[in-house]
Formats: sequence, C-alpha cells, structure tokens
Amino acid sequence: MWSAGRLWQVFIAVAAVAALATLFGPADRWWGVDIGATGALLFFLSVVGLLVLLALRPGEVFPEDWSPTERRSWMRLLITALILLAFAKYLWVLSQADPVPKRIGELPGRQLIHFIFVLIIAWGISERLMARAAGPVSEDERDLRLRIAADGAGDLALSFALVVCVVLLASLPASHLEWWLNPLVLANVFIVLLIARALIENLAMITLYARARR
Amino acid sequence: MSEILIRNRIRELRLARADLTQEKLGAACGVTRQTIIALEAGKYAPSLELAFKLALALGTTLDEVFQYEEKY
Repeated sequence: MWSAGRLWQVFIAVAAVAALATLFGPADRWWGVDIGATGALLFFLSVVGLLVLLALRPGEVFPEDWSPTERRSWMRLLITALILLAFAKYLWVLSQADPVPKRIGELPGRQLIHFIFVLIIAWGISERLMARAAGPVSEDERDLRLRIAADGAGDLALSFALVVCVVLLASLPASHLEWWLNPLVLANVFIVLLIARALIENLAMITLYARARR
Repeated sequence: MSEILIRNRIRELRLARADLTQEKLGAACGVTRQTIIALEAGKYAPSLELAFKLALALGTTLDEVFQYEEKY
C-alpha cells in the first residue's frame, strides 16, 4: 500500500502531465483518443484526489519539518506554474488571431477560463485545508523573515522583466509595435508578468526554506 | 573576520520537563513546531523577543538558554 506522501507525488505527476496534455495536446485525435478532453478529465480527477488526500491525511502529505507556510508555498508554486503555462498557451493562441480582438468578449479564452477556474477553486480549498491542519500557530517570525527575502526576489524579477519589456518594445519595428500595443494584448502581457512574479516569489520561498534546513 | 555562533540548550531544557513537547513550547512562544525544530538543530537564530519568550517558557533565564561565541 502506498503512503500518503507517495500517493501525493503520484497525483501531482498525473496532474502536471494531464495539464500539459490539456493545454498543449494536439487538436486531432491520437489513436482515436481526444488528448485535450482526456487530459482535462485526468487533470480534474487528480486535483480532486489531491484535495481528498489533503483533507484526510493532512499531516502525512508533506515532510514533518516543513512549516505550514512552506507547505502553502509549494501549493502556490504548483498552481502559479500551471496558471502561467495556461496563460502562455493563451498568448500563443491570441498571437495567431487575425484580426486581433478589440473587445474582451471577442477573446478566445473559454478553455483558459475553465482551467483557471478549476485551479482557483482547488487553491481556495487547499488553503482552507492546510490552515485547518496548521495547529495553533500558522506563521511566525522565521516565516516572515523568509517571506520578506522572497518578496524582494519577486520584486527584483518583476522590475527586470518590465525593463526587458520596455527595451523590447523600444527596439521593435513599427509594423510589429502595432500588435503589441493593442490594449488587450498589453493587458494580457502584464497579467503574465504578475503571475511570473508570484511564481518567482514562491520559488525563492521554497529555495530559502531548503537552504535554511541545510 | 570573526564568525558568530549562537548555541542553545533548548532541547536539553525542554526534555528535562517531561510534558513539554515541541508543539507545546511552540504554542507557548507563538511559533510553529518547525521553528522549534530549527532552533533545536541550531539552524535558526531567534529574535530577542522570541529568545526571552523561550527562556520564560522553559522557566529559566536567557543566558541559561543561549550562549554566544565568537570564532576567529
């Protein structure tokens, strides 16, 4: 029989592969199987599995010496990575749209909205479950010190990305500039930057925890 | 360049009181059990406020719990 920790890793791996199949799977059927739909179903089932496991065995899913904040950072890292992947795919679809949508209602985002909706619901439930399992204290001065450092790393990454965007925009030929300066394209790029910032912050957070344990 | 070492006797003093678990000590000081684990392993230097709280919860004085060393 698998331990809760091993089962958790299996669900995470299945969810990650299923998310990739949903987002980047081929449009055609493969050996009669609709990769996108099968991936979406597997993704949904593995997310439900993760939440059930977190509800039933909260103390066994993560290593004992991981603080509640570190556990939440891992969940946030996973979720922001998936949201970022979904947005990257979405930007790719948007770049192929001809003409570029001018209104929000014209955006080709139904698949993205479904995917992100499932992730945000799962995120909310997992935060509640982990807060319930955290015990009398869920965050303390050690967590806050690491959070401040991770926050700084996120801000630095965002500043760097903004400077890169400005330099790229300034160096683009006028014919390409028109597409990038479309308000909906620009808004989506800014959303991607903010999600990337959250991803870097959580990555820095778990790296700092791992380093503090050494 | 000198290296500062802060040693502590938290584990020793906690184990001397049979009923004091890491969880209970953490709750008494307002920190998580994982922070107590890090402190006992010498992998975290607490703030002055937390150091006083730990000494109080362990029923002793600050200099009984923490020792400061400087290595050259």
